[in-house]
Amino acid sequence: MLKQRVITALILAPLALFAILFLPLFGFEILIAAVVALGAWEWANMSGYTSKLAKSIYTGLIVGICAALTFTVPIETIWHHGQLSGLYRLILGIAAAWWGLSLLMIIAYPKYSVFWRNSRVIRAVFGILTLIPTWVAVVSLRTSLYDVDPYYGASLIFYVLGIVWAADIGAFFVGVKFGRHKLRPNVSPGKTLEGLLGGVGASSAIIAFAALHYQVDPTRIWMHVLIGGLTVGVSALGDLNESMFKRCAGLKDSGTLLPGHGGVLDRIDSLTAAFPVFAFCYVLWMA
Amino acid sequence: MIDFLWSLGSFIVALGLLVAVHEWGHFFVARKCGVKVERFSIGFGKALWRTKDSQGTEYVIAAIPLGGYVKMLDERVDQVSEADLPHAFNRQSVYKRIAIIAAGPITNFLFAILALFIMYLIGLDTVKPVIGKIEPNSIAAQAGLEPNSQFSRIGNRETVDWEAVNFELISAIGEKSLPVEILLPNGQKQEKVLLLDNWKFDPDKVSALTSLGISAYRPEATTELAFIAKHSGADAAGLKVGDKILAIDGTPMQNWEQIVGYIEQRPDSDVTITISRDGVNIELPATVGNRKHADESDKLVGVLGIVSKARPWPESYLFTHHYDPLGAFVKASEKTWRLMTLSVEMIGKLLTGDVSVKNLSGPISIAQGAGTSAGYGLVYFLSFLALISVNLGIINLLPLPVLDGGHLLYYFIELLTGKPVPEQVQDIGFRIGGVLLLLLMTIAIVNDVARL
Repeated sequence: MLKQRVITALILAPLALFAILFLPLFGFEILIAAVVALGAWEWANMSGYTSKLAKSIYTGLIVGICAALTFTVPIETIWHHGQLSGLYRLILGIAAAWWGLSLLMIIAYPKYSVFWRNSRVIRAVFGILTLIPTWVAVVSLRTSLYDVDPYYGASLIFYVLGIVWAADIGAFFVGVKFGRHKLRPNVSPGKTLEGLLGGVGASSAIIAFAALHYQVDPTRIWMHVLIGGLTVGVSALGDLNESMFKRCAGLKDSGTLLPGHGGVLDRIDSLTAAFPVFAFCYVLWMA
Repeated sequence: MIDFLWSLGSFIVALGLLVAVHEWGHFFVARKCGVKVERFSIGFGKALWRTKDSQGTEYVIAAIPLGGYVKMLDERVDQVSEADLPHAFNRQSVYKRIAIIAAGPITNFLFAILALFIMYLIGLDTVKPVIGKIEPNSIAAQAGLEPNSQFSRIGNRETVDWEAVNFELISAIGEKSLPVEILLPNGQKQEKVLLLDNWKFDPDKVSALTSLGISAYRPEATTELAFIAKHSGADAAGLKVGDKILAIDGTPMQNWEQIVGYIEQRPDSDVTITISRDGVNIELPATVGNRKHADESDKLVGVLGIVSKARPWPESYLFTHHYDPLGAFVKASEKTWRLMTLSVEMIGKLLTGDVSVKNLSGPISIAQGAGTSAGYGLVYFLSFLALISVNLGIINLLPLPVLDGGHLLYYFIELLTGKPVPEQVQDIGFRIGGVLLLLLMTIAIVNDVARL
């Protein structure tokens, strides 16, 4: 299982790297829309739309919204004088609110879940709130300061990927190698203090490195740290949120598309939370 | 080296004491609530000393003195026998858990009151905040402050000594203007306003007073010597305490500033000093030494190794913080409260960017502070303990998971929703809190090292 996982990752990673760095912006928009579309296909399934037709319609709807956004806000006008387009701002704001609500839903679960549990429509809407902002966030970050430095936006995307993955990878490897002190052996036996510290340490290292790389002003460094920390935390929220919906749908993996990894959504669930929230903070406080 | 050991020693005593106080708060309330405490440890890591009491609690002093902990019986961590279940922490009502967790910081605040109470009972000699000099064109000069007047109020708080003045000035960082009330030498009170728009204040480099262009009054220095440094040029030349400097190289010296100016301009050169000793004038040849210039380190200035005798302080400028028990308690509570609000204000200013993270201090700065204040005597050390104790309490109350405040946050959410915050959500919090703490600690330590 781990071997298959690593092989899949090794094939996908260079492709992703190439796409983020070198794809022309329009091509990049299409590619991200394609990834989001795969996620939409699986989300439809999780929402209870199991027929091929219904899944196609839902996926079509998501792709349609991405396309509509592409045409209402042409690439050159996504950023104007260092300001993100009002529509994109609004979408990121809604996304931030949605993840706040989602945190409350998880804390309260299963209380109040009757409101959305039995309604396919509401769950489908949740999917739109999760997937569309992800597309908007990734595209906004990629096009940020493109005129000044075509790779600046790419570096932001790598930064977010870095913090999110460092947390998981650090936790996994440090936990396996040094994990001795179990945090709550009677509740979640797999979690160790060392694993948690490994994740925290790895993310912190990435955040500290970014602070040096972007030469963050000392008076604003706490902001940088806070946003980094928030991104780490919120990525775990994306994970939990998807698990909650999967549990309602009675599924283990969201799909079978990626050998060893389950579905596309299982791979990008943490990113669907991390990207919109990071982009929202970035637009508000860092850009 | 002695300085370093003294700092380190004072630091370990201070921190050990404050951690013990904090953990004891948790321990005491946990016992009162009927929770079984398995271990009470000051310091982390390897146990240096241990003992056990009749209720099965183990008391440990451990090797790494940067903290401590109270380990309570908890089903999530241990196998708990059926009989012990009612004594497990996680089985307590949310109110009891809040009380146990809040007890740590609260005990820190109470300890600060106690330390200051003792300080006020012993009595603390201090001077009134009388202005000595005003730098021309400074913020203070523009506000019309004058030498020899005394700060009586800053903002809306009374300022009885320089420490209070300092607190209020620091608390005004980020404000546009600051009203002050001063007491003129003729006893009249006047309102002045400091305009802080262009206030450039880097607490690392200069004090708040200096940055505003104010220097505190100190009695005039005489030309009489009060101290001769060992192995200095003055020592070699045979200068003695009590000698009066009349002239150097034949130039008559009217006051102390003139002497300092003359010497500083002549590093590594020979001078002839004319002194008056027991009514007799003597000429002594001396060799001026050198030290690095305070601001420009590539420049050398002359140094002779003498300290002048100051005129005594005017009686009216001196006073002692000394109170009867009731008064001391009231004063100690007021001061603790001000320390608490000031700490919170500073955290707020850190968040708004008014205070730079460059000013965050870590253990090294605290250690230096401990060493310095312990060097001045018990009264100053008590005041330092109170300050750090309050800080420890406030920082622990920050709503960051990992800290007491984080646990309290979860329990308050539990109060609202009626069920515990899910473990996974707690983990999210631990991740955010962990990253923030780790990075803040790194920044603080980097700042400390940069300051050395």
